[in-house]
Amino acid sequence: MTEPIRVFIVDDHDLFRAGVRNELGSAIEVIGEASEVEAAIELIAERSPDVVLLDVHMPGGGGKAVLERTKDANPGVAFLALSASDAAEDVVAIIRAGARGYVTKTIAPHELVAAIERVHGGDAVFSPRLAGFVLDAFSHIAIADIDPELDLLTDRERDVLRHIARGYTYKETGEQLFISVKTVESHMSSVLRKLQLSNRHELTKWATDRKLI
Amino acid sequence: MASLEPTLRRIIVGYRAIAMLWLLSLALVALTSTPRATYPVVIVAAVALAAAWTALTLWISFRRPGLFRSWAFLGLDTLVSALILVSPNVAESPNFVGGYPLSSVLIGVLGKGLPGATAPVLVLVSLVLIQIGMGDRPGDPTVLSSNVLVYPFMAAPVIWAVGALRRSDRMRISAELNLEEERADRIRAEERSELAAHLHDSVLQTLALIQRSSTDPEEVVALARGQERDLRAWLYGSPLDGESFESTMIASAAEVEDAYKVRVELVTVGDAPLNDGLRSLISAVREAMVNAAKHSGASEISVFAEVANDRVLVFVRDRGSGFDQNNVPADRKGVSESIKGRMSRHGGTFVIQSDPGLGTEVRLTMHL
Repeated sequence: MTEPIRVFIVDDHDLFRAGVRNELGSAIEVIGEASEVEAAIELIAERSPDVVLLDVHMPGGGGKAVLERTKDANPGVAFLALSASDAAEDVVAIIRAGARGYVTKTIAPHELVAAIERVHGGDAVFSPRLAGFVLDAFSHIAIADIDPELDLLTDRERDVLRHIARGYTYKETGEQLFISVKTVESHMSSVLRKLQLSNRHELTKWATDRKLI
Repeated sequence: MASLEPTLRRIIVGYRAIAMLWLLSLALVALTSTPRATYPVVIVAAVALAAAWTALTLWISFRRPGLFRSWAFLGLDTLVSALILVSPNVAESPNFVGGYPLSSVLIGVLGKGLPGATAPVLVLVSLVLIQIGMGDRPGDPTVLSSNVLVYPFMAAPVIWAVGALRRSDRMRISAELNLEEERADRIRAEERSELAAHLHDSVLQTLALIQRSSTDPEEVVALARGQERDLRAWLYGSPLDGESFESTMIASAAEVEDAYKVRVELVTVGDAPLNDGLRSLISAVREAMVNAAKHSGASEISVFAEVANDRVLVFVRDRGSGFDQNNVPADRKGVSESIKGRMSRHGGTFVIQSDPGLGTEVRLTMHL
């Protein structure tokens, strides 16, 4: 049997942390938790978990502050954002800060475990809503100054995103498109990279309007 | 309303400029009259000093008005006035009643109020008394006494007037601040009571209902979901203003959630104004959601709608029981045929894909 994935939980709601700890099965080992930004930064550096479950909304800067202050010093840690809100500005801000995925807190336990395994494996995790938002943001072709490497989605990436937005899992998406799960994963990683690096107006305006960047 | 201090500053510095002209005309008279003035060079020097100092005062009043409040400046100002007072042309003009030196008293009021005026008054009065005692100031007693009394007598009403103006100005400012604070308090209180009213009408009601129906998990989930939707729309705003495809889809999904106690995960990309084709598309989508809710047994339905270029695509998907498409009961076949007919009349399509045990997906398209 392989080593369990070592997970660190950052959330200011005690009940939620307790709930997640109970839901995660044997494949996951919770090695610590924090309820505030400063403590989280310290403990993540100390224990270097595989995956950090990160609440988006917390006093003192939220999950984004934790990400920005731990990411560079801990390159081996993957961050999965969890939030009650799936407002577009929250989703985009945390993904662009470096989270490898985003799921809402209503996610079913087995799906949360799958999401943790996926970000640990270096892949991206998109909720249907995030997939829909990315399709929306990339759908208007800019007139000038576009970097086709970063600012445009390929047809295949669009197909994959549409299936995710329709509620398909990666496996189901692969079956529908006659490609392997690995290929679906690499398409989604590429979409994640574009989402994080593109300077497209549609992607930055949410964050800058609300002074998140 | 203009503030008081700049106005006072303009009046008092303006007085100094007038006093300067007064001094200049006195000097011209002294220089041109017979007998000739005893020390013409001293007269010219005194007038030049006064002119330079007046120019400096004007510059300060525009650029560094704060300097008027420093004792160092007020001391220098009084010194200049004292030099002018003891210069021969003033001593030789017994009818001159200290027009320029008086401006130092007024500048003192401007900068430091009563103490700022008292200091130059004492200095100037003492100087004139010394001059009289030394016999430097010839003239009859009436003129001499007016030369002494001009400073305190002119200063007193100015001190009173400026003091009264400043007090009423302070009262006006604090009244305005109070009013503003009151207004802000009232707005805060209104926002608070609006928030409280909203939470009471929605969240507290729902929590009460949840406690009463705690034995019925489906009901609890439906209540929580409906409340979540409501709170989200209230917090983040929803595109429910105006008749658009997206807003109608959101409303339609919410209706199905409420009526059938399922969770509808709706994702929309793009939006378009409603037309007949989109209305029939949405009613077909609603039919598909209701079918999934009633027959699939799944607790969640995924709906994805994309408005792109000239067409709208909608997918309604559940992971429920599914069914054999070759073996559909006649009554349900009729329903699906009628939806298909309505869609195709507007140029749309309607395809069902179902696998027993895996779930069902309905794919709908409509041209814009």
